[in-house]
Amino acid sequence: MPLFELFRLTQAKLESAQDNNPSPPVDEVVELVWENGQISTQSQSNRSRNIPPPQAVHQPNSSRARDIGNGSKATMVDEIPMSVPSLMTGLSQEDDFVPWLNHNQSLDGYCSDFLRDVSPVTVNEQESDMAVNQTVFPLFQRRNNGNESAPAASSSQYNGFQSHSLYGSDRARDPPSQQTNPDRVTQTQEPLIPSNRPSLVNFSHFLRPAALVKTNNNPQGTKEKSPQSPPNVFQTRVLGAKDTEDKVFNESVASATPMNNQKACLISEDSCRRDQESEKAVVCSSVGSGNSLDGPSESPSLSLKRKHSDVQDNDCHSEDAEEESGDGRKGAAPSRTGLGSKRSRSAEVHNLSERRRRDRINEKMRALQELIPNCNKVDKASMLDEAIEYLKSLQLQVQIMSMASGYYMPPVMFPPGMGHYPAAAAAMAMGMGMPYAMGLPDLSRGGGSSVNHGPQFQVSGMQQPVAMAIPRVSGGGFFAGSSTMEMNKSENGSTRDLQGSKDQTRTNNNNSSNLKPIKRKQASSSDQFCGSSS
Amino acid sequence: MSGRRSRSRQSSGTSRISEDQINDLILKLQQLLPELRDSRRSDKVSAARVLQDTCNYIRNLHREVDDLSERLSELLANTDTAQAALIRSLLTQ
Repeated sequence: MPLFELFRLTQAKLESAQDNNPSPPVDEVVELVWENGQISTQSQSNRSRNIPPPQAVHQPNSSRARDIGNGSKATMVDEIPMSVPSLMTGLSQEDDFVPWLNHNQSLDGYCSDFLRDVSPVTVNEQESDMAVNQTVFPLFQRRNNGNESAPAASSSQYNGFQSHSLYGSDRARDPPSQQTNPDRVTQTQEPLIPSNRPSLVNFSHFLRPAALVKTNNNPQGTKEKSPQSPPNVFQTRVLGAKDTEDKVFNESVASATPMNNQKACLISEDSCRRDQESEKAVVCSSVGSGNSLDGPSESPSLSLKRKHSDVQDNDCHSEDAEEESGDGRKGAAPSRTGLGSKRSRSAEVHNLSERRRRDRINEKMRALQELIPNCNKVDKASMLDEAIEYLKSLQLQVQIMSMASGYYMPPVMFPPGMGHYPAAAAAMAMGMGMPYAMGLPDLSRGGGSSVNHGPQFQVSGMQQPVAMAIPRVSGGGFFAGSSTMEMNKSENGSTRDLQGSKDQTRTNNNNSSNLKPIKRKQASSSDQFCGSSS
Repeated sequence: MSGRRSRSRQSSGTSRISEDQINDLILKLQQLLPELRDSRRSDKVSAARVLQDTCNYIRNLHREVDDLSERLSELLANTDTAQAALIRSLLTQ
């Protein structure tokens, strides 16, 4: 059971916490925490009471992740602290996040409490909601106090908060001084947690931020809604804040998914699209969860469809087009579980599958890049361009070579003594060039010119066995261009036919970056051949 | 192709290659592949499949080119016709 681990960790943390002095320079502590990747606080002045020791920061999160139980959820929680920094950096460190994370740290005491005494505290159940809100709320309020004038309600809530601390004081476990706030937190959490359904226990961790935002919204009106690009996490709940625990629960769970999406997207290998994916994934999930808020009973497929329609990301569209059926399946399958867990799980599965798919594609792109000679492109599009061109040139090369090799077999039987080889080639071409020329539909733009290819290919065929190997190894340009160049180069004293075509092909090589014009030029140059040879 | 790339550059500040662009290229690549061109279920064939088939196809083509060039060089070396002699002289110049 992960609870035991959590218990041990919390104990260790508490011991370490007791060992460490609550450093008055809270600022330093906070900064340490921040640098370590864990966001605890930003402003320290109001937080002196509540700040747990920095060493506890990492443990709680990880321990809590294990406590959360489900493996997927654990990964989510683990990912959350990592992803939040990115969020924070991008969002100029909104206040909302900090209290949430800080509150996470204080969860340890709560969790251990929960372990200790699972007896539900039904007495303060209703108040526990408020208390829960207050537990986070004080953190938030303190921050707000520093930044803005705190509403009176906050203070009152805080006082009410204290009343619950008495409950916790009965616990022998709680270290008296430092963990006062966490104690309060724990106490208020405790009553809340048992009151929830067992399935919600795992998500109590997320429930607080939702409650936090919800309560913040209620007393403070729409103040929270204004800054909200950062807490896309919170924004969804802000949009559809409701009072029921289930809604809060769903919101909170939905809030976890954007983190997860972002995290998943962050660690995706596709660096080109990472930012867009993270942004849009957050938007996706936030919109999706916002939609889900409206109707939790709605199928997740519907929310996914809305996500598809709302998000303008080509990424979402193109990928979801392929995977929407899979998403529908995933959405339908876990319908039996809790609504929030279903959505988050389907979103997770979606993210994982998408990540795996991206990994597969990237791996194949790398393999393709290795096959293409002299490919120093790093972006996908140019690499695909080169791959396409190289593939075309390879196809052409193989066609010509096969035709040339077939062409050579009969000449062995051709009676020697033919002087003018172009004429002989023409004669041969008449007899045997046509079947071979038919095998090159790309080169012949018209059926009438098929015969004309004969002499050219015979000539080019001489050069090609040697020349063709070279372009492939060196990767220089296109086969057609290089082979004709080879042909032109080697035949210094050759007939004027080749010389005449040399300039043409040279210009072709210089101008064209595509094989098509070269092919056409070859056809025309072959016409030149025939015109001059005949 | 340069037009496509410049369009992508102009579309956003960041040098982002649009997904459509890449899908377009994958489609073009698919049309080059003989096995995927005939059964062109363009909406069903995944990019991974196209890339995998492209790699296999390129390897096959490489092998073919090697075989063909070897055969042609043998032919050139072995044939004693006047043509072969001419060719050989041209090559060895």
